Amino acid sequence: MAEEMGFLRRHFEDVKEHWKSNFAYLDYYKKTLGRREPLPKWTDADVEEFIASDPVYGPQLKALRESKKYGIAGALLGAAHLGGVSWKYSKSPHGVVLATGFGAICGGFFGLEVAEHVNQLYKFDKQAANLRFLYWWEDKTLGNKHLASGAQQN
Amino acid sequence: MALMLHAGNGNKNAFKALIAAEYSGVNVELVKHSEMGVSNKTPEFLKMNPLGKVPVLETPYGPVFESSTVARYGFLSGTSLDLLRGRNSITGTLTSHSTAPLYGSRPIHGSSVLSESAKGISSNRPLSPNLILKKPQLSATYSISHRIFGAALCTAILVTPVLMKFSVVYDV
Repeated sequence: MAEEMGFLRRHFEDVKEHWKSNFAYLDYYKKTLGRREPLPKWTDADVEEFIASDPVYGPQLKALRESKKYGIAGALLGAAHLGGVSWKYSKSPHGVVLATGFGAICGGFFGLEVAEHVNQLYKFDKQAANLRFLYWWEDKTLGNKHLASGAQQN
Repeated sequence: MALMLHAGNGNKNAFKALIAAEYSGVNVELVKHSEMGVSNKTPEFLKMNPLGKVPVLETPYGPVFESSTVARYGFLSGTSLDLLRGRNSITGTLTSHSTAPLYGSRPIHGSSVLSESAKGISSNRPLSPNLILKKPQLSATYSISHRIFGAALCTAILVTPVLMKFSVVYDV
């Protein structure tokens, strides 16, 4: 009887762990959106520092940052193409604006997809790379605050 | 101003029209020198009534012939005549000074050149959709809020993966 309870409890704990790992992606939003006060804003130099310091997640973040220009280029191309087509065939001004916007979205999406394959972003967890940077930044800034207040007390 | 009735003097069918005119208070006059067999064969007359028969009443909307029709519709205010002709306005040319209520009468307006829809407005015809008079109903409110919610839901579903793809690259 005790063995069965033990078995069931173990199974239940396993199921809980399984679901916790399923919802692990929510950590990202807890760290970005779920803060009481926002983290101080980081600069490109801070990101470069992290990239240099971390051997695992640094290169991943570097690859992500390189993909930014693919997205922008794709958005510009898409906006120009679809906006041009819509202007050529229909002179309605609001139609051209909406078409340009939608072209930007689709072009940006496609450009990021191209970047994903050129920079091999599919090989790693992109959200995890961002999260690791946030952990590092959090330790750096809030850790400094603790140290500073500790120094004052001393 | 009087409406002209084309008929010979003493024509019994013309009396039908004249009696109706008297009852409805419309000013109607017989044309002078209308001769049976002669005046109703002229091209101008045939333009009014291709059948070449009398009496024919000249109204602002066009000629009306067949004595019973003339009696019934010829002297009414815009309503029935417009029904006859598929329009819905009246002008003040029927009687300029009549105070007696016309059969099926509506307020008489000064005549002017109006479009069909403008005439409809001036004659107080209920417009469709009649939003002013229609009672706001709960089913309609539910229906539109359902549609708005559906549109918002579709937008959220379509936009979420797009935002996620962009945010993963551009957040840091």
